[in-house]
Amino acid sequence: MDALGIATILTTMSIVLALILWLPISLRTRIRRTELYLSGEPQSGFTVRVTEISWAVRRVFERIYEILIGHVQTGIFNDWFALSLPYLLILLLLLVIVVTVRGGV
Amino acid sequence: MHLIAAAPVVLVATAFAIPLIYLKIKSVKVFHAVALSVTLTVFFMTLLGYVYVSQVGEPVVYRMGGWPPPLGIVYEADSFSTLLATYTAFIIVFVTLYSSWYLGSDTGTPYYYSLLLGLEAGLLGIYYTGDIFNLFVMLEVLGITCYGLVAYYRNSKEAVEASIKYAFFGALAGLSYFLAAVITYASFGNLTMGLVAAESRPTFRLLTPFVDLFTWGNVIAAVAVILALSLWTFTFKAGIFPNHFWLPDAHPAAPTPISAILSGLVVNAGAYTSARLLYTVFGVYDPLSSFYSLSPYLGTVLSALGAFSAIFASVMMLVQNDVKRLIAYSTVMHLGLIFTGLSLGTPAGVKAATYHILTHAAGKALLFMSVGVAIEVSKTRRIPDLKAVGRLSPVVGIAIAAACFSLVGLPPLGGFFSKFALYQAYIEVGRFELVAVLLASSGIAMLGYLKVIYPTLFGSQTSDIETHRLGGPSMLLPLIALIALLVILNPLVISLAIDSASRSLVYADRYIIKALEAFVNYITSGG
Repeated sequence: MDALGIATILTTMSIVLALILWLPISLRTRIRRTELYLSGEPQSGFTVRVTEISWAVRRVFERIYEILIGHVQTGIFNDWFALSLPYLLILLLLLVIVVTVRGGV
Repeated sequence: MHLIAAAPVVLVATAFAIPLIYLKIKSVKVFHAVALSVTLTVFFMTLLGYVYVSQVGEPVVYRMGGWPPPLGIVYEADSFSTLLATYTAFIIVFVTLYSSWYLGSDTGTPYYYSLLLGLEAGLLGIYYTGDIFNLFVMLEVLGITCYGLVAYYRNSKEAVEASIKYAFFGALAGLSYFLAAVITYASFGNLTMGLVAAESRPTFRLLTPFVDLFTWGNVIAAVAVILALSLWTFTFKAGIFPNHFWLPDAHPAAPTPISAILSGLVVNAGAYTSARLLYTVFGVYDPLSSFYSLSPYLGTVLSALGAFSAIFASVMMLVQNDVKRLIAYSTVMHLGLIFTGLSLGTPAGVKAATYHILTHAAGKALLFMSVGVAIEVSKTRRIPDLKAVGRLSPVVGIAIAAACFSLVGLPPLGGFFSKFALYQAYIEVGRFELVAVLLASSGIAMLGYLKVIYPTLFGSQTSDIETHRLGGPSMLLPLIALIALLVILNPLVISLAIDSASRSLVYADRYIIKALEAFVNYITSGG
């Protein structure tokens, strides 16, 4: 068995083990909502003064900023995981699929 | 011991010696002097290393403890790594000088310098190492020192939280790269970059069939996993979306000189390692490599992430009230542009990305240090409350303006030429969407920089400024030096150096041959 095979088996085993351990806990526990962290977005009052040049941009793209500040750059660990881990998985899947389909060379 | 190997050793030795010396000597001034003299010495060592590599015209291999590759760890320095190492050491000299003004008689100074020198050792180690596992060690050295420095103000809740976030994400990223190193060792049978690079290219496998002895299993599939894990780590180090989350928290929380290093120099380690792995080690962009077929897919992923980072960060700059946070987003934006250059896979793209690494580092360090003066006298990081320091200190005012204009890309400063080089590289391969990203992100960011320029240069708040904090050579000299650097960084002066560095990265033949030579010489000489 090659390195990738061993890595795949070990990783799969660890994921299965983690799921087995996590499932009963997740069924029992409710998600605890906490205050926003000290640092991270949103900062207190994302207001831009009318005298500032970026005021118009802020007003015109209000909806985009709501999404960016409220859902993307929140400063909370879980939100970061929700974006970053899929990125790793997509990267892994993409490259493995490419290798499988194209044969590498 | 060769200079390239000696530089990190000197730094690590001094970093450990400083807390011991502090047990006997309590004068903070001594530590300012020690740190400055060590960083200056290391700069000359890296400069001599760069001159030597440039003169011989090929990479230099240093065998740690005399052990040859693949048995021992090797340092392999080429034009690309020595240029970045020298440049890094140069900027750190001025940041250290600025630190003596910033810290004054702060009692934590010895620990600050201990970590700062450790950070520099980590950075130089990353640039010089020719070993995949040693790269992991150096990334950890860099990471651990950075976490400590971000939490330097340990009574500040924000600093501690930012440091924990950074450390937590950093540990995950380190683990990911460690797994990549394990799979590399299992598949290629060694961890020497030059030898793995030889195994990745069929031509070298034909010329030196013994390298095939190390290879095991489905190497191509293994490389796909290695690259995915490594790039996830390196995009974290570089602060590329979506692995940038820690950056806008960590960079503002650190002391200002450290913010300058984190934003100007530390993020470059992510760009450098990505480039080294993609171009030299696995030759993803080398038509003669076994992994060339991955290039369009990796290129697409990296350019998309780079482009999104640039736009996202420039947009986020506009709504910041914290000046250091605004500059931190600017770092995400510029690293995004650097990754778009690296993703092209052409010599022009690598050259432009390398050029932008240099101009961004100088501009960002200068901006943090000059704005740091405004923060220091205003006692706040809130942009509307910053005092108009530029009206009282022309040097600080010029420094803020020059740094902002260079980062925006206005002539005749270095940032203009590096952005123009990126523009040319995009046009060369017909990537017009990246041209649009470059122009749009620069335009949007311009509004963000104006938010900084206006209160510090044209604001009316000049009362209550501690004017005695606006002078002194240890604050003014670094600003003047970096302003001069931004002017010097034009193609007439720097083009040859960047050309040589990018060629060394794109055409890895000499890098591979030098590693093979070190191995073969050891075997033929009977050990």
